[in-house]
Amino acid sequence: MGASVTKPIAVVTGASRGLGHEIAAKLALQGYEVFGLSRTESVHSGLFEFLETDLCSAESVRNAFALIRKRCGRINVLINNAAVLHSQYLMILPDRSIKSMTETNLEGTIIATREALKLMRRVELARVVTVSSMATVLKPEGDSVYAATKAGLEMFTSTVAKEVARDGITCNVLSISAFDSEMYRSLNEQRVGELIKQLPIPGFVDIDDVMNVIDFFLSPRSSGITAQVVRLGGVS
Amino acid sequence: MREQIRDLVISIVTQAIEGLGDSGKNSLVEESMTLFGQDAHVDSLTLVNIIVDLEEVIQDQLNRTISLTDDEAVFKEPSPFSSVGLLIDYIESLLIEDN
Repeated sequence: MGASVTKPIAVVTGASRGLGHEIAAKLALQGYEVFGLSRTESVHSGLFEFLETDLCSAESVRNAFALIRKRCGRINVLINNAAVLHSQYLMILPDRSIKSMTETNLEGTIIATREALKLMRRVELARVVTVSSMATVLKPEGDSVYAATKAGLEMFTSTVAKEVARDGITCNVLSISAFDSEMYRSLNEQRVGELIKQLPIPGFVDIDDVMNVIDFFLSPRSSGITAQVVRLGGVS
Repeated sequence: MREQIRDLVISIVTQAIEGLGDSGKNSLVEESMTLFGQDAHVDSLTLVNIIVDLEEVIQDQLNRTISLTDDEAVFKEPSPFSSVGLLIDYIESLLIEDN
């Protein structure tokens, strides 16, 4: 799949499955040239190009963006979606789970954003959208580290927004309540059910809800919208 | 090699200063020009863009990958970003080291 010079370029992290895959596919259908970054290739990756990338490795992330730069010279959109969730009470949460969540969710996203921003300078429309979670507001038991990484991302995104506002780059957060994905299905069904029941809009959000907000952030008319968090499901 | 690096650095810094509009007007870029600190001729975000531009232009024109923002650069004394001349010296040292 060769990158067209005229198409806007979008990069989606964690695009092999779940929400990331659906966002990448939707953006591709909207006319973006999409690069999906993830450790494993998607089974259904026909709509966009997959770049094998380990977000836990700075070198791997740098290599992916170097390749995109070589191919396209720029990036218009970065969707920071990649995340791992190990839900467990902190006192019995293994070291590996803590490391995996902090490295992927926080450190990997920070490095990916750093590399993407370098390719967004002097680009007419440049947008960063970071996917967060209702966990930062609801603070569910068992999700202390996950919530901390996502809260960190919200702070990171709104702070870096100030650094790049002069370059016309906007950085915003889309906070998802509950999306029916492998990640959610891996959790205790009863606990998730109780959490969802507490929401003002109880139930899963779907890809159209998600794309509605992403489309809003990516719109040329949203050039004055930055450092904001939009929460789905009525979470507040 | 220093001459080639010097030309690249002067060119990038000149473009950055021209981009500042009136505040950069009539600034002649010389090796003694300060880029960082109290007497800096550029603001911090412009310096960030100079650094990223230099990494890119060295990749494109010299086909070499260097990082001007690793720990060594950030903690080096005096800072390689203090002046145009020190920046040229630092880039040259990285390219020689990498050879």
